[in-house]
Amino acid sequence: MSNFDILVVGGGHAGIEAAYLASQFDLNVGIITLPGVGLASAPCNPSIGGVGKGQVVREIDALGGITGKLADMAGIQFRVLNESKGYAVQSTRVQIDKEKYSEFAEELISEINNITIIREKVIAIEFEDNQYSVRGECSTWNSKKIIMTVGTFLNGKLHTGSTTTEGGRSDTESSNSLASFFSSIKTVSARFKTGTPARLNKDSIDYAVMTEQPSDSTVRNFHCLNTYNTRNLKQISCYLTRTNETTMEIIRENKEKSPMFNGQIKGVGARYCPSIEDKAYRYPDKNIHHVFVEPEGLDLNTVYPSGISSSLPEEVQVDFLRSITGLEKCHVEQYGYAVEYDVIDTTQLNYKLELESMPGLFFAGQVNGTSGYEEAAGQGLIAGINASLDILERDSFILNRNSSYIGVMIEDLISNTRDEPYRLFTARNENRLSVREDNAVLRMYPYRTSLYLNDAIDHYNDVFVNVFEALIESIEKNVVKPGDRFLVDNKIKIAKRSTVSELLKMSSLDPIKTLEDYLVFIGLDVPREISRCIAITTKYSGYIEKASQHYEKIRSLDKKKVDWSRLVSSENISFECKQRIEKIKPETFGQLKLIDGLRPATLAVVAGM
Amino acid sequence: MSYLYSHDPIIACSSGGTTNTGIAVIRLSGFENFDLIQKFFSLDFSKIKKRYAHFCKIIDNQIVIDEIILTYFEGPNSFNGENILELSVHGNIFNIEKIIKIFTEKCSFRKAYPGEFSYRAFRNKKLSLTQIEGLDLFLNASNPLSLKQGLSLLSGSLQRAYEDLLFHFKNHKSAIELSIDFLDDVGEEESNKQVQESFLKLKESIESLKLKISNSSVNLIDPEVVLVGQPNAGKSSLFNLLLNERRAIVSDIAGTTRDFISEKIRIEDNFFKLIDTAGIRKTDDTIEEMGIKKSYEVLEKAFFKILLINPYECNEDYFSNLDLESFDLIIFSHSDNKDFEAVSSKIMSKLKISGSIEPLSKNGSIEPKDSFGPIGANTSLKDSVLSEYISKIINKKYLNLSNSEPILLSRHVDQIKNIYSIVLNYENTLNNSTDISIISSEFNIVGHCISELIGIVSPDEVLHNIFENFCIGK
Repeated sequence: MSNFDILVVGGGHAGIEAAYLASQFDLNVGIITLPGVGLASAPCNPSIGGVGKGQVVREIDALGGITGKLADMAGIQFRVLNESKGYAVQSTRVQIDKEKYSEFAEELISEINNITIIREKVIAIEFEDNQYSVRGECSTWNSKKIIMTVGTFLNGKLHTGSTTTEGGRSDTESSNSLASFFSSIKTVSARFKTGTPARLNKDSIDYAVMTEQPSDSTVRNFHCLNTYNTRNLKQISCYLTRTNETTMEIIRENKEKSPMFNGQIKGVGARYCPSIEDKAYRYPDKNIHHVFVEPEGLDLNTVYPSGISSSLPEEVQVDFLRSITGLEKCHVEQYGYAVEYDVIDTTQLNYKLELESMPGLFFAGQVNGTSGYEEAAGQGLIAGINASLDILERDSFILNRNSSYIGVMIEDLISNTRDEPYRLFTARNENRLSVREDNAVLRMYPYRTSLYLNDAIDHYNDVFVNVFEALIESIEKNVVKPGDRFLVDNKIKIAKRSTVSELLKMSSLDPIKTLEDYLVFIGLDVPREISRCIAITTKYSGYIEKASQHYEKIRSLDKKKVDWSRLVSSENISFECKQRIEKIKPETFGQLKLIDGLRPATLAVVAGM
Repeated sequence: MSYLYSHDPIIACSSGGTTNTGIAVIRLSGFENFDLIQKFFSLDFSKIKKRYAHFCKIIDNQIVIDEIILTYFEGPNSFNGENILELSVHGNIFNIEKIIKIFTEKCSFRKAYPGEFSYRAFRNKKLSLTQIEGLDLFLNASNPLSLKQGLSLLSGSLQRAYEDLLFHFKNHKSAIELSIDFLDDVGEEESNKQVQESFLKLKESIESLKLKISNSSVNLIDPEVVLVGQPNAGKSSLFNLLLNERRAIVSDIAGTTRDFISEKIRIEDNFFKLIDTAGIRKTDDTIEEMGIKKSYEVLEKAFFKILLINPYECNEDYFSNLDLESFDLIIFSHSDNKDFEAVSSKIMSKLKISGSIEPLSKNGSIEPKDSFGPIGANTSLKDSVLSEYISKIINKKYLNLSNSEPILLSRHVDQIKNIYSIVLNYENTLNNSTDISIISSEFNIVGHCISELIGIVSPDEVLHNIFENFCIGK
């Protein structure tokens, strides 16, 4: 029998991130995953990053996580989303070779001496003598802490047309045997649903009639220790095509065959990620929908047609696929399917993602009702660090929602029972201007240093912060005057002398290029990511200042303590609101405000109390 | 601020105790039982009936201080949720002071801060924020308009108008988020279109709210009718004419206009303050300039503006600083003089006053010749009494404005003006910036203001102000 400090059940994106972080504390870590499944596989969209999610990956990276490293290693197409919309909402998205991603994960994790990878099906988990005992089909292990990252494997059920199979996803079994252990843990009453489109043979597609989206060679890698934009793998393109009237007609005609609409699937899908059936029935007038044709890997023969996930019967899927421009002769390698699964009610978790009623048992990833590899990894990181700190009897690791997307996500999760899969949108962040990709190191620095670890990433972070502070101070002092050679050389016209900071704030100038030019002019060699961060920080400083003045008022109210037990006994608050308050037990007005469905009148009453 | 958290028993006189009245009401609130106060009353509190008027005596050191009517409201079923004793005492201010002193010096009561009774009602969840504002207006209503508005706040119909604003706010906010988080899904063109279209709706909504605050500076709670004109234009004559007919019982009230002659008049159910301004004219005298500045302020705030012109002694310089279009009524006086019509026509064209002159009366010395603004021109005025005519159009304007649901509460008026100007600023950012994160950050500021208006998140400061201005309960 082996003994672990921390045992991670599940080897997905949350699981490996939890183990990777825990291993940095020199603890004895185990990952148990199903036989025949690679680590960190990408059963859905083969990409890492995206709007809001790119910020998460950079936060993970600055905190010493693994996701950014793997994305760079396996990246086959890099893009910046929202490029036209302003720096704060720009996000990096990397198309990954999903096969290589999993291989690299296996490689990096196996290299770590204090992580053991176990491939066995877990049958039972028990808690006795102050530790957990986990029984597999052949062996039993003891562990002080357990981190559950079981994804969609809780009572997972697969649907393609009228065919239903048990399993968390295609080709794998669901972890049904664990269900008995979970019977004591409250799950969300509605089952969640997620779906994927059919995978197509990449050689059966006519790319010439589609819009090509090539990889952008200027995009910065995710992992900060990697050279700015050097790629590990060969870069290839994604392609854009569209559905048409015929496509949508085929889907509409077969409505009664769709498990989602004939009642076979009862689970709740995400409104932000509708299947093509949803789109067809809900928007009967709209026939043109984007379809992104994304390669799944350099050596794999499949592509992922994003935007048309479906659980229609196979013959219907082929019909509608072949009606799409460029897919007329497509060959389906694997049909689309929908998965229904149970998720736990995350309001039972604390900020550490630990189950309040069972100390030492943590939950992270899709089992918490989130969607997305990045969200899963972010939770894995929080659970992994906190499980470690608990063993070492140190203070908990809690990210503030004002300075990180991960912090926003954790607080949102534990404050509310979700009624649909949770995804991080930038809209959930109140401080979008200051929570950006470019300043992730600055934002995460105080948190990472609080862990007292001494890795390569820590040295990098130190340098970043020092250079940033020194340089931002000097550009506030350095002055340029009309007629200066720097201004003449770069064709910049100003009316009166001004500091370099003021120059960067001018709306007619690109702050990043101006600062770079200035640094070249004065002969100072500064890492590109730092000068970029300084330029953007300077550009936004006035707006951030203005916004924070307005927030200050609101925040002081947010910090106000509320006595939830008094609220629950109040006559002026509706029964429904009371129920929600009683469940969440908010301690501050800020937390109270986050509760879904609280009526403004209730808040007004509480604000005045 | 500390009293906001205290549970001390408090005492206050509802009429303020500063003027002699027939009966004054003193309230004691927040005491746990009658143990300490029993000895000051001739009534046996163990036999008291709740919500029942008892006749009894207040006694101090075996001396009867006053004969009173006493009513007991037991918490939580009282106005503010606490135990309340209401004493109707004789309203001599010395008597009131003496009684209050008994309880503050010989019992543990302290004098209540202004608005503290209502604050406690709010604190004990007897009233919501908007209800308190409604109550404030209701209690301080000086005319039927504020009474109506007070009731409508209490019932929440005004809130619905605000919710419309909130609705469009949310739509625009959604459009912004759409263009950030779902740009790939909806495309650049569609998302920009959504942002622009939803903003126009929002702007319309705030503009219509702004219209409801009816020229904002016009005070409808205490409407003022202002007479303006050069010396000898006939202001005093008109003032007295209107006053003789409709002088109100209520006398002058203090305010910014105390430097002018002002009287309250009543037209049907409504009260107006009639003000005769010092002559507004150009001057080099600095002392006089102060008075003139004040006249302009009064004029700006006025609900109804009347300009008197004596066409025979008309100095054109006088009019250069006046916005003639803003007057509700322009009256040419001295119509019994020679060639009145010709002389006034000449002045009219000089001053670019449009409309026709219609003699109102053959006899009087004051003749309304034309009107501007909300009152239509060419009203048939023949043989009607002058004062009757003016009263009618004043009241008509008042009813028109009040029926369009003007917003009276000063907090709301300020906030709506504030939102409007922030929305205009924001529009500038929206049109000039290509950075959606800046646009969205600026828009969040609009959002905060809107939420303050509707009271979703009301900073403590706002609350405090309300309680300060809210002086009497019930």
